Amino acid sequence: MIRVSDGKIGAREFFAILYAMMAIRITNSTPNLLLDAGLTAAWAMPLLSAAFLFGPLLLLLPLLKKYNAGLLGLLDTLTGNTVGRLITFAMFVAIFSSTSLNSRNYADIVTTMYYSETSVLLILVVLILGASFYIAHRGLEAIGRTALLVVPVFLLTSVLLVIGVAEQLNILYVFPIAGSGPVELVKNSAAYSAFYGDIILVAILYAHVRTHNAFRKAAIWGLWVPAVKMAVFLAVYVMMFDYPAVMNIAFPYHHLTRMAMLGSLANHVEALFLALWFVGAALHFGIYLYLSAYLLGKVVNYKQFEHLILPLAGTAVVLGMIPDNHLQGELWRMLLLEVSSGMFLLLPVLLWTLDRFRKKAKQ
Amino acid sequence: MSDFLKRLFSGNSAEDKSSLGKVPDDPFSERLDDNVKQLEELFLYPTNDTLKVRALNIPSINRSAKVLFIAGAADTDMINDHIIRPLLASQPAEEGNEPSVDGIKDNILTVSGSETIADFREAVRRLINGNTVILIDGEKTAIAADTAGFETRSVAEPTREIVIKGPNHAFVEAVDVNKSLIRRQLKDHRLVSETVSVGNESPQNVSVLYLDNIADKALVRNVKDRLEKVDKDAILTLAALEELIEERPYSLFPSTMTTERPDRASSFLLEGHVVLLMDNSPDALIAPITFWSLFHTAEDQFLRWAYGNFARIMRLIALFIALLVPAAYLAVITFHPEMIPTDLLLAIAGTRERVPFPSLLELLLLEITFEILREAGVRVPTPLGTTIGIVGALILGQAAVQANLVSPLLVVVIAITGLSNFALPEVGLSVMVRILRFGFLIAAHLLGFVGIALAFAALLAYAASIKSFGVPFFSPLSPHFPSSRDLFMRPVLRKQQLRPQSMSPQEDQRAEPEGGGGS
Repeated sequence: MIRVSDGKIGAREFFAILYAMMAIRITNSTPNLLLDAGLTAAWAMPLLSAAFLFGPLLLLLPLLKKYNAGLLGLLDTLTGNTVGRLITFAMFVAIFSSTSLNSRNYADIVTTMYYSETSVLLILVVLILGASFYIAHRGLEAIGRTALLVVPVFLLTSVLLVIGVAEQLNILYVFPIAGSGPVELVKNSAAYSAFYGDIILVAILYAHVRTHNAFRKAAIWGLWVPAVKMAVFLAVYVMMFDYPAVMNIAFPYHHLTRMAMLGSLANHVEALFLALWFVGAALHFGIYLYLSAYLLGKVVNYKQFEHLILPLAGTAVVLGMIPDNHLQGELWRMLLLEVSSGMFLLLPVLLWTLDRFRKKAKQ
Repeated sequence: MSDFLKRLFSGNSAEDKSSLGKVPDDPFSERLDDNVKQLEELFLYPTNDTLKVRALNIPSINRSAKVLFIAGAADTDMINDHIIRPLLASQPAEEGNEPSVDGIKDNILTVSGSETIADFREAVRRLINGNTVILIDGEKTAIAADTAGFETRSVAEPTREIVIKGPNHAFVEAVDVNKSLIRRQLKDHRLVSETVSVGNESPQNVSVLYLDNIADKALVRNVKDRLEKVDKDAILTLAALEELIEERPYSLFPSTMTTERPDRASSFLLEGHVVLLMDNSPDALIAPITFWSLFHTAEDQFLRWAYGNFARIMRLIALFIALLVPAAYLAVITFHPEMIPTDLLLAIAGTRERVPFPSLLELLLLEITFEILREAGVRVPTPLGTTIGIVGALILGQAAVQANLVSPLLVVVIAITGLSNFALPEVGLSVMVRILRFGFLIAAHLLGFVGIALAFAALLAYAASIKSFGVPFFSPLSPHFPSSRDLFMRPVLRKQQLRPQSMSPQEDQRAEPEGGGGS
C-alpha cells in the first residue's frame, strides 16, 4: 500500500550503508597498516585503492543491469551453481572473519583507551551480541534507515573534529609527498584495496535497491566519500603526530579526539566522540552480520537467513576471543586483507570475461 | 428483556444497543392504542417514567395520533415547534384527499430529517437515539423525526495543545460538532466522512474522515479493515479504539495520536492522513503518524518562520536532554570524569563526598521522587496544586540535599530533565521518553558512554524499523522521500509545496503559490 513497504532501499540509504561499512575503518587500526606501508604518503593510498576498485566496479555495474540480478544471481548464471557457491562461501569467509577480527580490534581499543578495567569479552558481547545483533535482526530496511539517520551526524562530526585539531596541524609534516615511493605506494594500495572490497560485495544487495540508477549513484558516492574521508584523516594524523612518531601510535583516531578542543572550555570531548564512534561501530557490525548471514544462507540454501544472525554473532564473539592480543590479530588481518583484495579485484573481471565468452558462444 | 431495559436506563449506556437484539421486530399494528401499549411495555411504563407520550388529533386527516419521545434524549422545544405545532395547525383536507403518512412527513412536519418506520425494534432504536416517533391511528407505519437533543458542552478552548497565536477551538464530545469544526476549516467537497461501526454487542459509530483526492485509497482501506477487525463487545471512547487498532500495543512507540484541535486535524487531512472521530470523545484520532507528527505542534506553522523554527530547535534540545542527560551525568561522573573542568569536578566531588549512596541509586531516588511528584500533581485538587509544586520542588529538594541524601548538582540535573520533558508536545512522546530514560540510566551505569551509545543505536534501529499503517516512523527523512521538508526545521510556507510522499498521497503537489517570490 505504501510505497516504502516494498522492502527496497533508496539511493541515500544505500549510500549511508556503504559509508557506515567503510568510513569507520579510519578509527580502528587500519591507519597503522596504511602508515606502515605508505609512510608520509599514506593519505594517497585510500584514493589509489579506491581507484583500483573503481575499474572492477564499473565492469560490474553494466553486468548487474544486464542480468538484472544481484551478484549472487550473476555468479549462479555465469559460473554455475557449484563454482558460484564456492565463491559465495569465499566471500562469506572474507567478511565474516573480518567481522570477528575487527570486532576484537574495537573491543581492544575500548579497553586500551577508555575502560582499562573492563574485560574484552564484555565489550565484545554487548557490541556484537547486543546492539549489532539487534540492528541486523531488524532487517535491511531498518539498517538503511538507521544508517541514513546517523551518517549525516558522522560526516558533520568528522568535519568538526578536523576543525577542532586544525590549529595543531603542521602541513610540512606530510612531506616528502611520495612517502615510500610511487611504486611501493601503488603496489601496497592494490594489496589493501580490500578495504573497499565491500563495494563489490554489496552488489549482492542489488535486488533490494530500488533502481539501477540508485544503486549506481550510491555505489560511486559510497566508494569515493569514505576514500576521501580516509585520505583526509590519514593526512591529519601525519600532520598532527609527525612521521615517524605516528607509526608508534596504536590508535591515532582516539588520540586525535583527545587532542581536539572545541573552544577553550570543552577541551576533553573524547567521550562524546567515543559515544558517536560506538554508535557507528554497532551499525557497522550490524551490517556485516546481516551480510554474513545473507551469504551463508545462500551457501547452505537456507531461505530464512535471518535465523543465522544470532549464531553468527555468537561465533564472531568466540572467534574474536582467539587472538591473545591485538597485535596478533593485526597479522591475521593483514593476511586476510591481501587475500580478499585479490578476490574483490578479480571477481568482476572474471564475471565480465565469462559474460563475453557467453556472448561469443551464443553467436 | 426487561433486564436489558432496566440496565439501559440505569445509566449504563455501554449496553444500550445490546438490548435491541432482544426487542421483537414485529411490525406495527393498525390500532394506535396497541402500538403505544407495546412501546410502553418495552420502556417499562409506568415504573420507568422516561417515555413521554403526547396525544393529539391531526386536523388534516381528522385522526388521533401520538407523539412519543424519550425525556433527556430528545429536544422538547424542537418537538413543540416543529412537530406538534405544525401537526395541530394543519388545515383539514377535503374528503378523499387526505395526506398519507409520507405526505405528513414531507409537507407538514418542519424538522429537517425524518423517515417512516414500520417495526418496534426500529422505533426503540430511534427513540433511544433521541428521535421522536409519531404514531397515527389506522396506519401501519410511523414517522421518526430527528429531534436528538443530547446535552453537549459548548465548544471551548484547547487545554492540552495551547497556542499563543492561532485558532482556539477544541473538539467536544459530540461528533456532529466536531465534524462541523473540521468542515469549517476544510471547505472541500471531497472531504469524505464514512461511518464504520465497531463493537459487537453495542455498536458505536466511528466516523472515518479523509480527503478523497489526497489520501491513499489503500491506506483508507487499511484503516477501515483494522476498524472492522476490532472484536470487542463495547468500545466507549477513541482512546480504547486507539489501542485496538494499533499494530504494536506493547511497544513504547505510538502508532496513532490524538489531537483536540480541529485545525491540526484538518492539516493532517490535507497531508493525506486519516482522521477518526467518535461520539463521546473530545478529540480526533490521527492515523498513521510519524515521528514528525509527535514532534511538531500546531503553533510551529502559525508563528513566523524564524520563531517557529526557534521553538523547534529548543524542543529538539529538550528531547535529547529529557532522554539522555541523567544518563550522561551518570556516565560522566562514573566513567569519564576528565570531561568536567577541574574546578567543577572538585566542587562536585566535594558535594558528593557526604552522600553515602552510589550515583545510580542517588539518581534513581530523585528520578522516582520526581515521577511521583508529577503523578501526584495531576490528581491534586487545583487549589493545592501550586502548594504541592513548591513543597515538592523546594522543600523536598532542599531537604534531601541537606540530609545528604542527594548532591545539589543532581537536583539541578533532575530539574532540567523534568522541565525538558514538559516541553515535549505530545503525551505519547513525553511518556515514552520518561520510560526510556530509565533504560539509558541502566546502560550508562553499566558501560558509561559506550553503554549509552549502544542503547541509542539499538533504539534508533528499532524506531527506524517500525511502521505505522505501513508508513515508516522517520519518513520522509529516513527513508528519504521528496517532501515539503517540514522535518526538524520547516521551510517558509511558500516552499512547502510537496506533500509527504511516504503517505503516498494521490496529489503530491500542493497548489503552486501565486505571484512571484518576495513581492
